[in-house]
Amino acid sequence: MIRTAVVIVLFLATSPARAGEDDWFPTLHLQPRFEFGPYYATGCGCFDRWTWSAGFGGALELQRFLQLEGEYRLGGLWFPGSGYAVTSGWTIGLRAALVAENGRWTDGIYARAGLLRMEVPASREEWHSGGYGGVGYSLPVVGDRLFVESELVLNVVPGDLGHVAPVLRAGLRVPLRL
Amino acid sequence: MRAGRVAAGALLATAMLAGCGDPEPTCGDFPLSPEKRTCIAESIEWMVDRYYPFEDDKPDVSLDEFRRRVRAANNPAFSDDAFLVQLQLAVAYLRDGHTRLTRPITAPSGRPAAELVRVNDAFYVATTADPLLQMGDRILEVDGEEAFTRHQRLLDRVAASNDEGRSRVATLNLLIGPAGVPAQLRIERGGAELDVAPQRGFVTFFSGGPPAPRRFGEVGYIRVSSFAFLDDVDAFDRALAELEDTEGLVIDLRGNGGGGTHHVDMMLGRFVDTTLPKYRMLDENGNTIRRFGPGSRGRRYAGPVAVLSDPLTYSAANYFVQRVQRDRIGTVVGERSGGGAASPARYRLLAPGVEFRISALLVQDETGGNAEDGLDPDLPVVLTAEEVAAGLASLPGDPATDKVLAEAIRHLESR
Repeated sequence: MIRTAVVIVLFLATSPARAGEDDWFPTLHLQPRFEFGPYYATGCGCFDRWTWSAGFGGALELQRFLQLEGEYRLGGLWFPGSGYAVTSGWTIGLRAALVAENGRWTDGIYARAGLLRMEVPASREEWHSGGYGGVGYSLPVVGDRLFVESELVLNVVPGDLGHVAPVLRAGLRVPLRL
Repeated sequence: MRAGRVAAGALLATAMLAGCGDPEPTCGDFPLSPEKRTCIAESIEWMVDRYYPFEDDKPDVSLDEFRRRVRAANNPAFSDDAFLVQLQLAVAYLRDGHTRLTRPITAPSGRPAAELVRVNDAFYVATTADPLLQMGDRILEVDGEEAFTRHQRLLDRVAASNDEGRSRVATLNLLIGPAGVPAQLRIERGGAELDVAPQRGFVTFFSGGPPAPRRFGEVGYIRVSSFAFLDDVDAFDRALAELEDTEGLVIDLRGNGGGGTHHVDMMLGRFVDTTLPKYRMLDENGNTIRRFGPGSRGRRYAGPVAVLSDPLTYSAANYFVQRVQRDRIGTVVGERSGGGAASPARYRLLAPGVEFRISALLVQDETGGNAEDGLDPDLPVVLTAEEVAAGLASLPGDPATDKVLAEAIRHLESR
């Protein structure tokens, strides 16, 4: 499955882009991601575990300052020296560039925010809702066809499994030009 | 180009969905032909031969005898249900609460709304919501069968890791029978014998709610009914935060059938300053699959701790008790725990509703030992028939109606 996903991403990234007449159309981006970070449990008032997930999502770029994004993620919670729990879930939110396009390195700075739903099978309430927000940087590596992105994101979930998780995210962004 | 991408997407979706869905039963569907029964019996034998970790630890168990019982169950004269019941009896013979065979329910069972306790060789009503029964009633006969004889007969059906656990489950099930059919009971009440017929309701299983704080004077109380839920760790933390100013804490693990050892480790992390020695989980070849143990987590609770245990304190809950005793975290109060030092990590669906699950991973402490047979409490509490009649086993979680809790509070207050 991973090999298939890699093949698709590379295929899309290296396919010839059509310039010109359809540039103004909304662009769909594929966004595979990985995130990892410490987990602050609000019940304990302590950092007591680590969280990670691999996500596969997309963003619909309506314009530079308005993109709709969503992601499905699979991951886990790791309890150092003891065990782990599997998690899954999805996010939906908005993404926007933070500066107007000026041809400089700052073009790649963006912000993201939205809602997240987290499923933890081994819990009384399997679904836990919260939000996320963060900033990232998008670095073009193959023209405008493939970007490497890294982000600092805060995942916040109140309630029974209340926690705050400042995570580092890294991944690719592949514009689709159908 | 577009068609190619659509095809690639379909390929990806297919790859992601591959492997999803319910597994096919290994031995086929009902009715069970002789070949299917042989498949079921041989699958169970094979899994026990391969994984059962207690052959050397349980002197009462012989795998030769187990095989004889499994083969005797495969009798063409038995109905499918009788065949599976006989297999369940053979599996219960292994004296391992994690190793068990489930079968489809053909007729629902029920029991009157009453909890029984055993005092010596007698059985008393500890609490009841049935108007025909009273606290302290002694059960003499159930459906015409003498109570103790019935209890002994039920013992063989119970998959449990030690005698105390087996006896406790048999006691809880003493009044069980077909749902909707009244239990014909002969009881002793106030020195007189009388016959009553309380209705058997459906048996429901409820693991209990999440940990919640209570206070009895300067002593806090948290009941942990299960270690199966990760969010219970957070509920435990919140309860502990509310009880932080207490001078002692009771953690009630009675009836806790276990769950994840990492949930245990996280809760215990609130009572230690350091990382405790790791226990190991071993596979059937003696290889270490993982090491685990509690480490300090958050602000440590400062007061003394008492942990309540009983024969239903099993598996991960038994591990909690083991840690509390061995690592001197607190005092264990109540009865011998139920044991269960393994993880039922291997299972197989043999026919629809017929699943065999076996202890495949053994939990070993840092000395190489295990607590499969349960642990004696530091402070044993024994109930008398008079105390049962006075309601001292009627409502757990209140020292006025729970002698074990009252003793634990007294112990903490004396320190």
